[in-house]
Amino acid sequence: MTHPPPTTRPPALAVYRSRPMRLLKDRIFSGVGVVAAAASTIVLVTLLTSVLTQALGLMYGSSQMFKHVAFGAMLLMGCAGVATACLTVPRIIRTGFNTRHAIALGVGLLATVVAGIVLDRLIDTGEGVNFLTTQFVTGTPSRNPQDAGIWPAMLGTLWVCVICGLFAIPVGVATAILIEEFKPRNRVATRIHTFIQLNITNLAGVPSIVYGILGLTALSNMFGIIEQRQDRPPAAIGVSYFDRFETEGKRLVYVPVESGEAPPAAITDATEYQDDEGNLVMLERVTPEAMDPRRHKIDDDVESFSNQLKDAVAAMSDPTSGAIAEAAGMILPTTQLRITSAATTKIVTERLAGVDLSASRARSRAIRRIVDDVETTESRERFSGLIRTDAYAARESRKGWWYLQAPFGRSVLAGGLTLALVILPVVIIASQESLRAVPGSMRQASLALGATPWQTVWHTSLPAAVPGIMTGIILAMSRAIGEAAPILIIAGIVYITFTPQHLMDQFTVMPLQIFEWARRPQAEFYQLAAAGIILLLSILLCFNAIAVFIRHKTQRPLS
Amino acid sequence: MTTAPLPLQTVPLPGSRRSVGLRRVREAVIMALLVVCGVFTVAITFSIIGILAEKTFEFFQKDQVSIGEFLLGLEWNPLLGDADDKHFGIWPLVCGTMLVAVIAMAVALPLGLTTAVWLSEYAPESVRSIIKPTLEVLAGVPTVVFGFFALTVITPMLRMEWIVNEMGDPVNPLGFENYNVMAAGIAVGILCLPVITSLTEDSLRAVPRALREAAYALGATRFETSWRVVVPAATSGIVAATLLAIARAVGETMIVALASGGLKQLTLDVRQSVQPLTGFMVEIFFGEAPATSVEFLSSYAVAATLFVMTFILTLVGHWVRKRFQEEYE
Repeated sequence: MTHPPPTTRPPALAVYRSRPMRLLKDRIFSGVGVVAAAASTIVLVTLLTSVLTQALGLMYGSSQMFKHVAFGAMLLMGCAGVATACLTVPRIIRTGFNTRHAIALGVGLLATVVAGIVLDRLIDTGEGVNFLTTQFVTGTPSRNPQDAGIWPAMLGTLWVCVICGLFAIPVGVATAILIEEFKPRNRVATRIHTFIQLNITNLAGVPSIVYGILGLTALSNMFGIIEQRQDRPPAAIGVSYFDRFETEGKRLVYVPVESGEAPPAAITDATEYQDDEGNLVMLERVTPEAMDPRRHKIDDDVESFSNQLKDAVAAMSDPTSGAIAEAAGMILPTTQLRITSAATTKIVTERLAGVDLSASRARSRAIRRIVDDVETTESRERFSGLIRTDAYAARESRKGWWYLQAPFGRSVLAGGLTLALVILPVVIIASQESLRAVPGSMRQASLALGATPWQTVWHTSLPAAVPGIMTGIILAMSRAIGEAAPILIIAGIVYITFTPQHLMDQFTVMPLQIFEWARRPQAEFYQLAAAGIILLLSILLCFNAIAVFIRHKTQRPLS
Repeated sequence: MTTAPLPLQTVPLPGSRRSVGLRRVREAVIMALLVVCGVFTVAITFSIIGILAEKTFEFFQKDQVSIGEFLLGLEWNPLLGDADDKHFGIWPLVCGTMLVAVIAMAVALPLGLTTAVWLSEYAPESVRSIIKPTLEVLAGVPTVVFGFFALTVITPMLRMEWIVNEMGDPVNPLGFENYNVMAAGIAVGILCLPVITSLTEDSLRAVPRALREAAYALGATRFETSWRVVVPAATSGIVAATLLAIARAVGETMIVALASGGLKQLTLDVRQSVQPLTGFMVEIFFGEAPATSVEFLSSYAVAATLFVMTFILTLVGHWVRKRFQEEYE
């Protein structure tokens, strides 16, 4: 028995629609695609140009928002025009002139000129303040936007990124090697392996602010296991403590003590102490009652010197700095001030070298400064070995950059390690992909020559994968530079005007500083934030350029 | 004349001088180090889960808080008022997060998918080779930049600040607040745009050429080939990319902290300020709440909610990729 052939054929794909209709649809989508791609590009370029124009103070104000879009589009058009013109010229030289080249060249130049004219009209340089200056780069945050700078945040970013890289790169690459190069054979190990892989996929999707909470609890507070107690010093290395005494004559001496909580050190006779200029001095302890007459004597001498100098200067018709210094040198031996007169004359001359003494106010101020200097120098020399018996000991600590303390607190180290956790999955995934791209035949050849698995990894797979790993690491580091949310949780409120000095120092980073500026209501701080963004983006662009360069230079076929 | 005999030289092989035992020990030590690194990554996940669980538990121990209210309550009000006035219902914050994610996807998905299909199937190679790396560079732009853009460009555009009355004050015809969810959502969408485009384009290009050629041989146009052959073949990759983008939108912090404001309200009005989960966490950690206070602990519960949301998204994405991935060759 045979089946009858089917009477109806299944309808062919789109057979019911007319061919012109289908072609039209194709055309339309092609147009839509171009529009979408152009829109995406323009939106993103507008983003960059609007920030740039705000930073430079070229355009600011809400009524000009469409100008940003126009600015972005024109900038794009100008660049495209220049590129077209530049690409056409070599072709003309190579193949000779023809109509197509002429059109391309004409359109390119026209686009450039039109874009230039429109940009020129858009930019109103008289309007705003340019915040992108060297002062901005080297300055510290300030309540006055004009004086504010980003230097502490830049150095903070540098510290954090170095710590982050030192931790994330070895751990990340090692994990990638474990997953890609040491594939287990038995079933239990395979399960664990799959679990680690799945875990990394999951870690890559965890929001960075959750890592911030992890860092705060695990690093800054150490789960509360190591509590800071009043009666016990915190566990710390890399710090030394001193008691600072002020001797008569405003010289500071430092006496090392055991710990931050040790009882105040006592000054003893016949011991050499280090002072703030690094000299070793012997100290003589004097009671306050015995000290006062000696101090009064000096005060009288200085008073006498300054009065005589004032009179001499007032008598001068043309008080130049040289003349004043000469006068000071002549007066000095007549007073009871027993100091090396050469030194005093030197001070006087140096002090007066840059001072314009034409105004009487300025003159008296200059003289007062000289007298102060003379007093300091004189009394320091005279009193260098004297200290009051009731001198107050001020506890000071000196910390090397390696200073470590047990709960990390809101420190650079905690911030850097938290960022390392954020970028760890990125580093692992990038390293995995480049290790996977190394052909298996290379590994087999190495193993066949008798190399152990680790030798194969170290001498064969890893060198072949290094370009890809490097690119991935640089992209991960640029993510670390731009990440603000976890640092915000670790560092908290930021008004940091100093650069980090040691691993436990407080810090801020560039994105956090930008955030801090951007959330203030004043327009000047917006512009400050814009300037910070431009700086941040230029650093990131450099990073990306390096990544592209490495990929370009080292890319060679492996199979 | 005598010639000195040539010295018999052996080329030392790398590692040949060392004993086998030493080499084995070295291998074992290195292997142990690698395993430690692998275990460390697992430990990160478990610490996150452990910390969030412990602190959330501590949060629920407080008098003002109950799990029922947290999961079902429609009012989130931990900062203002007396102890009796404080309410801890998560939904206003979840509402903010959802609004941002939905707006972001409404912006990013149509634009991103169209661009990806066009780049992969229509664009000439020269255009593609310029746009693709540009998008990848833009994917690395810090999110605080997008937040700044939302605040200084998108919000004024939504408020139409170029329309002013006789007094010179902005009219604000659409009624957008100074801080609103719409601006934040659009900015997050722009942030997700390069991610979606790049990943989708990758999965479209991974579809073998033979499929396209077969479609063309059957007389299909380029549009029909793209939408009926290539896109369905790459569905798993596209869905995974979309889920990844949603996870990013949900976890996005700096944009919403800058642009979406701090009102904790349950509304679908995108012109108003609605605080998402991440925005609340920034408010708590940037402020100075004492570490044992109930509002500080509430941020851990919020973080746990956020973690659960992204965790589910990641797992679903992973499952889709594994389950629906088409294997060719």
